[in-house]
Amino acid sequence: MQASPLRNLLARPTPRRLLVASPFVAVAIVLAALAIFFMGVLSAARAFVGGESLWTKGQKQAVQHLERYAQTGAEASWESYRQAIAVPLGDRVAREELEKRSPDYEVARRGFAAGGNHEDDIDGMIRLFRWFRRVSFIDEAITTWAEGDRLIAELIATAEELRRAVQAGAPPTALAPLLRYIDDLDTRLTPLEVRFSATLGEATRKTLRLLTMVMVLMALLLTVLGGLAARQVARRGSRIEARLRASEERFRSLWETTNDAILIVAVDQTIRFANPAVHKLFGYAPEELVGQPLSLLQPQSTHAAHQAALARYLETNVRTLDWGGTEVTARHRDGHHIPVEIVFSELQLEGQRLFVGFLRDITKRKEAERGVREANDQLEQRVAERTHELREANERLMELDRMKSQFLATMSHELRTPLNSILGFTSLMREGVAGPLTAEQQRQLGFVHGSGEHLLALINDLLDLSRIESGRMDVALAPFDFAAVAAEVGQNLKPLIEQKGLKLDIHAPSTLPMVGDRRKCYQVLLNLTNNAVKFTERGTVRIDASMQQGRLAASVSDTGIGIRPEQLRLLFEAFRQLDGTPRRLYEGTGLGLHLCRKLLDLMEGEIRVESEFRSGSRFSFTVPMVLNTVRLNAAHPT
Amino acid sequence: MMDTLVLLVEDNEVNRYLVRFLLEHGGFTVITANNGMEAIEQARAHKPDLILMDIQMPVMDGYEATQLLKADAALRSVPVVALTAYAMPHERERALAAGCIGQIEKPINTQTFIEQLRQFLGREAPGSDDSGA
Repeated sequence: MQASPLRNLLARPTPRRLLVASPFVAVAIVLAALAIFFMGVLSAARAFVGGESLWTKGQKQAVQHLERYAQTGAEASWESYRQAIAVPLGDRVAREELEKRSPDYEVARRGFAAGGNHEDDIDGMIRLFRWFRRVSFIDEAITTWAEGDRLIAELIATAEELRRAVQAGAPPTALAPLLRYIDDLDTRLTPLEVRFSATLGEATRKTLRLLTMVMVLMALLLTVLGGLAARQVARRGSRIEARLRASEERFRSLWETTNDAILIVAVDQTIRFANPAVHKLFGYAPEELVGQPLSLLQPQSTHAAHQAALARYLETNVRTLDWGGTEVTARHRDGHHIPVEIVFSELQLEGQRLFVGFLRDITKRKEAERGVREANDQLEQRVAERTHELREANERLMELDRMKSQFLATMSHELRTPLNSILGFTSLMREGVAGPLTAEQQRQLGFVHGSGEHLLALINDLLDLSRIESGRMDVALAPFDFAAVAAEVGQNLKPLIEQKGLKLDIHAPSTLPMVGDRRKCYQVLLNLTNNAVKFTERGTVRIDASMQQGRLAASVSDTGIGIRPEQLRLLFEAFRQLDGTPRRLYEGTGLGLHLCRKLLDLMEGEIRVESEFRSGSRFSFTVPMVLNTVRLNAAHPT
Repeated sequence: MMDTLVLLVEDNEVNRYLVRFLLEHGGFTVITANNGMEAIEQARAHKPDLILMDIQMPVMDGYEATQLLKADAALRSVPVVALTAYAMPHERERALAAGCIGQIEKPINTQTFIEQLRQFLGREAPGSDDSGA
């Protein structure tokens, strides 16, 4: 509201006003210039006419003085003649000078002065002469003048002749022809003088007509321009008026049709204006509210806070509430409270400070919010319940896991206890401690012992795997010599290797000091070597061990049956024995390679296999020479 | 070696028989107990030179028995060797923490068993006769 279009126009008038005024100013300037110019011309023409009369007077007097001189022979008459003739002569000097291409204006000025012209007129005369020399009537006047000057020259020559005759004492009869000639010259000069004046008079009249015409035209031009400007201003005025009307129309429709209640309140909190929507919100007609205090629409409990906030604002201009939208509680006519969102602004109307409030009933929104909040609460409760359930389930699972481990440990112990005596007593018997055995008895006891060993290995592998899977497998960190580990594996498998008629080669440095888990390294190497021996019928099993880039690199190669390429990827999975035939040639748990990989994973190790079917396999693994405790703990938290 | 007295604590009768056989065959004098409780009684009564202690037993397990023995001033110096089955996690560490000087893993390797025992005895001089009442 504070920026009305009308105010706008008045607020930035300078350029536009100049624009409107400029044609008038230009026309006025041109008019003034033309007037001054033409006045100058007219004044100069008048000066020339005046000059001509002086010229003519000088010439006539000169003739009279000459005639008297001829009669009397008095020197005084001659002198008078000389003075009289000086006037046309001066003018002639001026004319002749101005006829030059680049005249000396001082000479011309002196000439005009000698011609008796007023000194104020001389510059105008010079300008007129120079500027309009080629204009027809000026040209005609000057030609007439030049003609006159020529006759004046003849007059002067005749006068000189007369003077000589008079001084020679010639009789009057001798002077008569001269005087007649002088009279004749005078007669010839008169029409020239008349023509000069007439020409200039004509020029003056023409100039006057021209000036009048120009003035009339200028007046017309000014009138037209003024008319145009007036029409423009009038049109703009009506546009502004239309715009104001439209703006007012818009405001009125907004005021009357909006669903928001609008209250305009004075600083003293008296309601000054209220729109029709207040009825729906508060139950009062707009006219009922005007003049009432705003507190009528506020719950009692909020009055003090409102007054305090208002006082604070009026004093400091600090807004306690967010003017862009604040939720407050209002009071309906029937006393019930309404949640309302209010947007404030402040305006100046006819010098009065007013507050405008736009109020919107947000009962529905509040209800929706409460619904959302309740739904949210319910959701949170459900999440809490579900979390609780999950925690309980997790605890049950952990309990189950503990029970599983306990069960495995117990089972393992229970299985080992009889195995201890089976393996122990078969060993004793085979050693002959309890008496000599037949060859067949020895052989059969060997089977019993082998089966017992196999069962024990199975139990051990299962137990290890279950420990790894449940994250209960610890990795030891102690110094040991891998070369000794390799030797021990060789020693351990020596009976089996010899029994199968194979050869075992160990290629390793004399010592390979490491820090880590000796038992696991031993387990891996024993497993791989055992496999190699198991699947090789003839040839060599070879163990290589060396240090490469801070890691132990060990491998077991054999010349055995090898592995089909499509089976290689299944190799390290649990419970796989690659021989797909129903008749299993090779005993084994199917856990060995899987366990090897799991053990190596624990020790940041890697294992891989290369094999050519029917010609042999090579299993290689690497482990850090020195295990990093920090990384180990981070990777396998227990 | 015949006068070296070994107390064998083992709940399984067959295993007890096996180990006793191996020990006597190896030249040791053997007394036995069926559980930790009996072990303590036997130790108090006979002051053995070495105790072979099974870990998992009814009534009182090997850890507890070893701790009680080590708490007894008269028996503190008797070396205890654990018979572990590699069944429970941290078995070895727990055995050492309870006061055992070492362990022999089950199943027993009949060929190396006596040698292992001799090593433990060599490390720990038999002190039954030296210890005061």
